[in-house]
Amino acid sequence: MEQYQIEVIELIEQPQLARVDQILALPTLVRKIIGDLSNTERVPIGLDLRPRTQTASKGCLYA
Amino acid sequence: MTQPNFTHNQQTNRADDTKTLSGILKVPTGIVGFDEITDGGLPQGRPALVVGGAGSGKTLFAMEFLIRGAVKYNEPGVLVAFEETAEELAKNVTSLGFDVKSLEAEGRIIIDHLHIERSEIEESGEYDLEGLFIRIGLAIDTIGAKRVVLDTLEALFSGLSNEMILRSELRRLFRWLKEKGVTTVITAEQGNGRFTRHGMEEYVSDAVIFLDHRIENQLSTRRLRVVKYRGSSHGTNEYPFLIGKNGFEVLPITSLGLKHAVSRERVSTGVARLDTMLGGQGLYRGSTVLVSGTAGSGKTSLAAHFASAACERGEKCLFFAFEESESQILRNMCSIGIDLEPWVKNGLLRFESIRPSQYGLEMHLARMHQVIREFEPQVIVIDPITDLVALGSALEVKAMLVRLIDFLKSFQITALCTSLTTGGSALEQSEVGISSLIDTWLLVREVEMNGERARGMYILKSRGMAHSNQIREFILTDHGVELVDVYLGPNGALMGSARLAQEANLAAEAEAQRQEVERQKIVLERKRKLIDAQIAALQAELAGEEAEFQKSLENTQHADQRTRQDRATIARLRQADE
Repeated sequence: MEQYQIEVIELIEQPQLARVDQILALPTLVRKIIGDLSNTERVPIGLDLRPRTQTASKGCLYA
Repeated sequence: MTQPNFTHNQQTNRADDTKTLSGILKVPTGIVGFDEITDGGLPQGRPALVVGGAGSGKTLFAMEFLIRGAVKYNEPGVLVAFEETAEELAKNVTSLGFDVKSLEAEGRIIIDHLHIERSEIEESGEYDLEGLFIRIGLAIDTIGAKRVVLDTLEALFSGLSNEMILRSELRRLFRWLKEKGVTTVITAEQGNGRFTRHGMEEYVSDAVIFLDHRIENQLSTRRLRVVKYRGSSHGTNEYPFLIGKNGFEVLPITSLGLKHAVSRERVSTGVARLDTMLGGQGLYRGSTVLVSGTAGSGKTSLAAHFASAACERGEKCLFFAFEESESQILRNMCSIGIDLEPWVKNGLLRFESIRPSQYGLEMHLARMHQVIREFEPQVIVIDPITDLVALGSALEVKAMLVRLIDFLKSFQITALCTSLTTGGSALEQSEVGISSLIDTWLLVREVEMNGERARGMYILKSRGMAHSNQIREFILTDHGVELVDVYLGPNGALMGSARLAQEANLAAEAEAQRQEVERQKIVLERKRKLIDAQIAALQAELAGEEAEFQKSLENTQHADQRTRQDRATIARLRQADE
């Protein structure tokens, strides 16, 4: 596996980034994953590290 | 505004009620008519909900609120667009004359397009919409915005699946916007079976405006209704509105009521004899005149006189023609000696020729309002008003005409409406619906007699003035309408050629009588001459006889004298001793 570097931005300190990066909800990871970033099932799917499967979408509360 | 607990929405509502009862501040939207029906605009510093179906004009309403606020009232605004991009929105309103790009460049408006696509978002447990708050907050602070538009917040529901988080965040959003003190307009899609699709009315409870776009008899009408306006009186009716070249326009017509000031000034009808019939001075300025009559009775000609007279006074006249085109009216009126063309050329007279079936009833009214506001005439003509009647039910038509007449009166516009009555029915009955609204009612009646048709005109009513009760014959000549006295005789009123024949008879009779008198005079003269001659002859005879008598008297005296002399002579001769 490759090495990733994650930059943590405190949006309240740089509010202009919200518009530039189309941020709506917080916390947001890589512009598309929102909510609990420690969820080991949903987050890898959002990052396309794991394929979307039937079982995975069932795990979503309001899907 | 800050309610620490939000256990239930109802509680917040009630708390707000008591606060706002003392009278709330309003900000004008700048939308024509809307500020009038809401008595000032939208509640200041509060969110207002604009609900409607697809294509009902929600976004336009919101955009106008924002742009007019920035341009007219110097209140910068932020538009958060969830559905359309800034470019699309700017393009949409360019046709209405708004230059969004330059407003943005001047820092008076910010348009922020918020892109949400469900497939691009992976939800993983708890989150909040702080990102949205930060974005709106930054935009507000950047230009010192006083107005915010969220169009359409409901896009959040299709973009995010966790409705629980969404709802609590929305509640927090509106509270936060209130704290910020910005006047907000939120648009929402009309729901199926409920008010809005996602129950937005739960969060926005200060003002709710409903936009409707319905089709009746294949004609579309847009209507606006203020469903709710907390702490303020507002018209509860449905108001028609237009989306025209000047943007959103609401018609606050029913709100006028019967409060208009009236004028004592009189204006001419354009027909001198008719002015005489109307108390000698014509109509009151700002009054409404109805001219009813059957087809071809000369209503339009009368209207043309009225329009022409107004233009001669230097007033502006607006002529709504529902049956003829401008050039057709000009040509036809020219044939009876009324030349309207110069007035059209110098801009005093304007024709609005529209087919009645082109729009719905409300739309017609709306357009008429628009044109009247734009042209600002002192006099209008509606020819004929009955064409509108066919567009709706009697009740609707009456309501519309009440609004129109109220509107005209409030601007002191003198109006002449013609009304086409169908033959057969009683003229006075056919317009019961509107007769009570008008001030002066003229009836042109066809009278058939001796195999010909004549027109008789009379004043059915005329409020506030003494007026003639007589029927006049209405004649169309090559120099316009002429009213002449009808012949009233033992056989009733006579018109047309019967009147002419009667008049000729009368003239002949009078002539005969005159000649008879003349003849009698001559006879008398002759008689006098004869008698004079007789007198002269008799006098001559008398004089002759007198002369004769005198002669014989003289003769007798001579004879006496001679006798006496003779006697004396004889006595002397006899030497008689006396």
